[in-house]
Amino acid sequence: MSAFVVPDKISPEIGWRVWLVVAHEAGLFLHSAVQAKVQWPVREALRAECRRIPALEIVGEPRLGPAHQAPEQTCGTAGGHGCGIYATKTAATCADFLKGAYSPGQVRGAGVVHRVIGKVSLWGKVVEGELGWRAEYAYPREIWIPREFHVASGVDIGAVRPPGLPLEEIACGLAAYGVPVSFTSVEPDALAA
Amino acid sequence: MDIGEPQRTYTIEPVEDPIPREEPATVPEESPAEPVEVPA
Repeated sequence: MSAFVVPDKISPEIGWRVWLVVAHEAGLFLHSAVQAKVQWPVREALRAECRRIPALEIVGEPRLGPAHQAPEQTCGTAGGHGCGIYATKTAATCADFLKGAYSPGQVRGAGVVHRVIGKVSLWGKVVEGELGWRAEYAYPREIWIPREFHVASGVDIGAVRPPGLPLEEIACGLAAYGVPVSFTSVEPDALAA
Repeated sequence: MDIGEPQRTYTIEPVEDPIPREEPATVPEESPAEPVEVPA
């Protein structure tokens, strides 16, 4: 018999994230800005998993710990990042990711055409930090498309170039997620201020 | 992404689905059949 767990909350946490917009053959998809290979499915929750590295455990590397259901509060506390889907409590906290500090040009052979900011719903098991959350499940709630694309060009972090596709085409592609999509002219520095 | 030191862990089971579901395609109602004259 499985134990019935009474939830602590019945409404999702609403956090902020930055996503890459990646042009696959099947259309435009959101990818995580840092873990760029993580593709956010359309009309399906993204579920977190802990990507511990067995090879490191073999050589006695303790920082990743044993396998566990993500997110685990103690994961990453001894170094590195803890598992789970990240979101911050304010837009300003994640706005740096719009500036191109992490700016791959391609993900799995598909082109990164833009970078967007938005709100995300978080639920399931959730670890709360002072500035944000790590969650088990997540889905975009609202997406804003900046009119300019900040990229890293050599050592020049935050150089600006036109998005890889017309903004309207990006908005149409992201509409598949079924959440509000709009444009913003607010600079990342203004968000971070 | 820095979320600070972990402070607490809890569970959320949303009452409302956070994922927008696709609305079912609306099927046009068939027009009613024309009245047929029946001999009295």
